[in-house]
Amino acid sequence: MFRSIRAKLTLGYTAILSVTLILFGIVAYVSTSTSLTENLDLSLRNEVRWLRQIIEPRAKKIRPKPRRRTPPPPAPTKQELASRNKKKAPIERKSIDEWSKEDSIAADQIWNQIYQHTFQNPKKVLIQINDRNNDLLYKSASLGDDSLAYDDVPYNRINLATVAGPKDQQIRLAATENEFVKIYVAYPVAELTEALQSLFSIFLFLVPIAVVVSIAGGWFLAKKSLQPVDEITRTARDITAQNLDREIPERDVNDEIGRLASTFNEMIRRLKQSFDQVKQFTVDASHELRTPLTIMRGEVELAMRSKKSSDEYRRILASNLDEILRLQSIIDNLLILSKSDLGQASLAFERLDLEGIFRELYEDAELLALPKRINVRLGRNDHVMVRGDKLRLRQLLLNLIDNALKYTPESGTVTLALEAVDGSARISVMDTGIGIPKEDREKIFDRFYRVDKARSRELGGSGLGLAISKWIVDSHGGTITVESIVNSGSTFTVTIPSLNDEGTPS
Amino acid sequence: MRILVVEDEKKVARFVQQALEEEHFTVDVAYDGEKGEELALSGIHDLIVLDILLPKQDGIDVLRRIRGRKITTPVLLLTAKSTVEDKVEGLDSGADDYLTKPFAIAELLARIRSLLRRGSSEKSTLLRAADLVLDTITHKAKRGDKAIELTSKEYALLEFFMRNKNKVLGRTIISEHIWDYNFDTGTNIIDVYLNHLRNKIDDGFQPKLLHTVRGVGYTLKDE
Repeated sequence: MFRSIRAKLTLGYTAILSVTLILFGIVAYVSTSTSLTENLDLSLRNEVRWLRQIIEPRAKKIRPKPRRRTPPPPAPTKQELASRNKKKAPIERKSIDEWSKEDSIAADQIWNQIYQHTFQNPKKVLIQINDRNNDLLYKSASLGDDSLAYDDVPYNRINLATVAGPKDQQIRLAATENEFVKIYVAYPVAELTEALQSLFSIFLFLVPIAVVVSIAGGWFLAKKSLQPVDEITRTARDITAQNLDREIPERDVNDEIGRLASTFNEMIRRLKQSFDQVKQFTVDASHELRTPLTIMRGEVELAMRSKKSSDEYRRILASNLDEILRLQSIIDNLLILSKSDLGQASLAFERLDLEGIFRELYEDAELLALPKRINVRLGRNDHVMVRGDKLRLRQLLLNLIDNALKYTPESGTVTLALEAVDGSARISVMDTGIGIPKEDREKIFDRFYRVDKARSRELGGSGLGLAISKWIVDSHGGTITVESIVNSGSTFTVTIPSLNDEGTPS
Repeated sequence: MRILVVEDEKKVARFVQQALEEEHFTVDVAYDGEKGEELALSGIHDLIVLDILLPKQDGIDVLRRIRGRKITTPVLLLTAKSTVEDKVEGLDSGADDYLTKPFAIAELLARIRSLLRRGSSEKSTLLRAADLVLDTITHKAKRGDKAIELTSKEYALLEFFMRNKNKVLGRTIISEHIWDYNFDTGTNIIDVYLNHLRNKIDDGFQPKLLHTVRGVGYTLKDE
């Protein structure tokens, strides 16, 4: 299952999403928790400051409020009292009993103001104010019977702590003491924890859902985007040499898969093309080989059916020898071509004086032309140096000369010329022969292509000469072209890059 | 029996012609499709051996054209094209048989004999008339128990008559099927050959088989 890209992708998406969600959850939880606490602390501090601002200007008028239904704060132990008295004794100026009547009215105003204020706050805010002797001065209604009195209240500084409050619930407590009173403001921590817990449970609930959705979505998306890949796989598996016309349906989208599909189709088309070429070549080659074999077999069988004269046997043997030579030439040429196709035909490139080679070939041509009394003329024979394979270039020129002589009637003319033109050597072989029809000119360089099959075979052609010539020209980086007028003559022109006297391409 | 060979490869045409002539067939040769079609349309051949890859006109085209002109002469395709598609196309275009190159001469001759039998009611390689038996493979003739020696032309004549028993055959038809184009119809050479043949198969035997139909030609009667 995990061997498919689809599963891997899905697994990857899901893993990344899960990690992201969990990290996000942790960060969100921690930062929410911190900011909630900070906010709480801030509002507790503000509350304390506000209380102080209310109380301090009129502090001298403060007197304890009647302790309605409120029990006194837990009596400090003797030790505590002792330590407290020792510490705070110097700043204690007057006792409660010293409060005057006016003071009492002013104090009531303060308590009222605080009392009003508590209505604007959430009910959960707990406020208690004691005098420095720990006698209760004020207590918010939300405290009920409980007390917030704690020890270790710092002087002129607000202390914040999470402590066990009344009814065993955790509270966040801000406490301070100034020269007149001790102020306690608290808020139940439970509120905060509840908020955090609900946040936590939302995460606990959402993360698995998100993961499940991402698995399903990832699986679906991966399936959708990888579907064409499966199709390509199926097509590729079905393709053999016999059905190369199959294609992957191409989509209009130019995405990775679309490009893969079109690249794949192009590859199939190229394969098909080369398969077709090979097929055609095989058919042609087998046909070429069959003809001499048919003749040899037929003639030999005929000779063996009944007694023949010795002249007849001699004729059959001579004919068979001709066919054997033809077979040999076809096979030699096929070998050259197949080597060239495979890029294994090694050419021995060297600096060549084309002029000298050309003169030798001209002499050969004169000899070859004798039986048909063809007039061979040498036109320009410029001095040209080329980089080439001597043997192959001779073969090329001989092929062209041989063709010219074959297709030129008796007493015709074949003209050879070698010219140095614009950094190239231009060789032309011109004949006054039968010419090549226009529709055939393109194809004469194809393997086994013959303008006139019967005539070509009679003249001993293998059908491969021009194909080999073209290969030789191509491998020398040159071009070969033909111009022709039917019944008037043809001119083959070969152009190959020449070298200047320093031996570099000119 | 007169056979047309349409084959552009001259050496192939030559040995096929020679082999057929050694079997007492009369052979015409055409080296391209156009000439082949022209000769085939004359309708005088008993069989056509046709190559497919031909200059000027494809063998398949020749075949379609002559079939289109109601020429029903059996056609044997003889070609280097050997794929199933090629064979199917050839046979569907109206050929009767198909032989790929290179081929054995013995097989070519056997297929030609087989195609020639197909047109007649005689399915055996032995042709019979009364107690006269002609073996088309060994070219031996026998009347009763007596072997009869025949020359090439006599054999060709006898085979033609035995394949066309009880039909009156005119001199033109006989010359067309037994002699090639160089034959001069002005001579009485047919009568001379038929007299020789009659002497060999009827002399000393009853019933007489070969009869002259005055003013029309000859017939081989086998009641």
